[in-house]
Amino acid sequence: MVKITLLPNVKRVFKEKLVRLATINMVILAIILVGAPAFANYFNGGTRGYSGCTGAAATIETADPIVVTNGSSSSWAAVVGSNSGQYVQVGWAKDYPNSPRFFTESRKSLGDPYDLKWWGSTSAGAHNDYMVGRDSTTWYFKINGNVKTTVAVSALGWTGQYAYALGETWYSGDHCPGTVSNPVTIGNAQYKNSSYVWNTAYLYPYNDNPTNFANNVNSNGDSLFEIWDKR
Amino acid sequence: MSNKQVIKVIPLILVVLIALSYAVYASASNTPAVSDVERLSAEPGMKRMNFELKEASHAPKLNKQDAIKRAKDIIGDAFDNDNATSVNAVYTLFTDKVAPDLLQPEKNILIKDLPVWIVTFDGIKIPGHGVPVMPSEKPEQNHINTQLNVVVDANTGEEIMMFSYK
Repeated sequence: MVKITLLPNVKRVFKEKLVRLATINMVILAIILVGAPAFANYFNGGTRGYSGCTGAAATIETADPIVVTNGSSSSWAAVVGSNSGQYVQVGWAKDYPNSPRFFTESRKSLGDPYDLKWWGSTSAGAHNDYMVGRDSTTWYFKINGNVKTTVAVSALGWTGQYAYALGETWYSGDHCPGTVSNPVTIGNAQYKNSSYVWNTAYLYPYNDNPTNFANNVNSNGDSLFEIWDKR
Repeated sequence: MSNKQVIKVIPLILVVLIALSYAVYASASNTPAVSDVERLSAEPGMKRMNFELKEASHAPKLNKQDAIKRAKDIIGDAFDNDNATSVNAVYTLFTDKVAPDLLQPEKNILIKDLPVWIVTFDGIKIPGHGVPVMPSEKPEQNHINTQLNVVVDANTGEEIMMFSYK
């Protein structure tokens, strides 16, 4: 049998190169992990379960919050089905790099793409009425009483279970709409019941980023409240 | 069936086969090529969003390259669009069948047979706004669309809207 042995000098050089390569890889990995914040939605405002919910509405103030590169800060009203992949929503969004604009979004189920539309503009301080509700055949997305888009109930195929009126961000560096000195008002919260009748919605507080976000939603249910970022 | 009978039937079968082949050939050669407008118009997402596209007969003031540049200016460096796998633009007459006169009330633009460029970015990352994950759910992975459409007025270069459905 022929035994192959490397010269001691070659072994040493090979080892040094290996260590150097491993060190470089670790540094690159660290830069990627630190430099690229993970996408994670955060929400702040009011939610409540309403079995057979066929609509949600609120008057929401526009803000001009800080957003990071590729980030977003928004506020909207939504009807949600039995999981987080089933929803219809309408509101305003400051999606990087644009200024606040109107948007509608709908989704059939988890794993499906969503239908998302942006247009126009809304200025900080403006109070707009956002409403998304259905009849037996069609979901209607309205802003200030005007139908902006529709989607067939059959195209989504789920039954509403919740009414939401929330602020939302995409990254930890994005600020929730509203500041300590100038919070964003969400009022006139409504839901539409299974008989297609609108009622006042008394939403419960929701805040999954209490370190940075705050609201004054009454724990017994509220239809008029404020949200803000504490930073 | 005897051999004689089989031999008699063979020419008949051949005639039928030739006739069928010609019919298939004629049908295929008469099928018009699908235009970009027809292809885009047929997408399920376009129908869900109540958009209607038609072929435009007049040339736009804004050419295709300028329309793409304008769309890139509109979205800046958002959605990782520098890494788009493709960017294409289709010139069409664009109608929003639900709210043609209400989408842009402040600009007095009627979105009915409006000449536009629809600039499509593929292979980019568009997170949805979505709603909170339910307590019983695990956070969804890859909750993103990968195609963005920027609608640019083909005569003025003004942004009309943006939309994404896949």
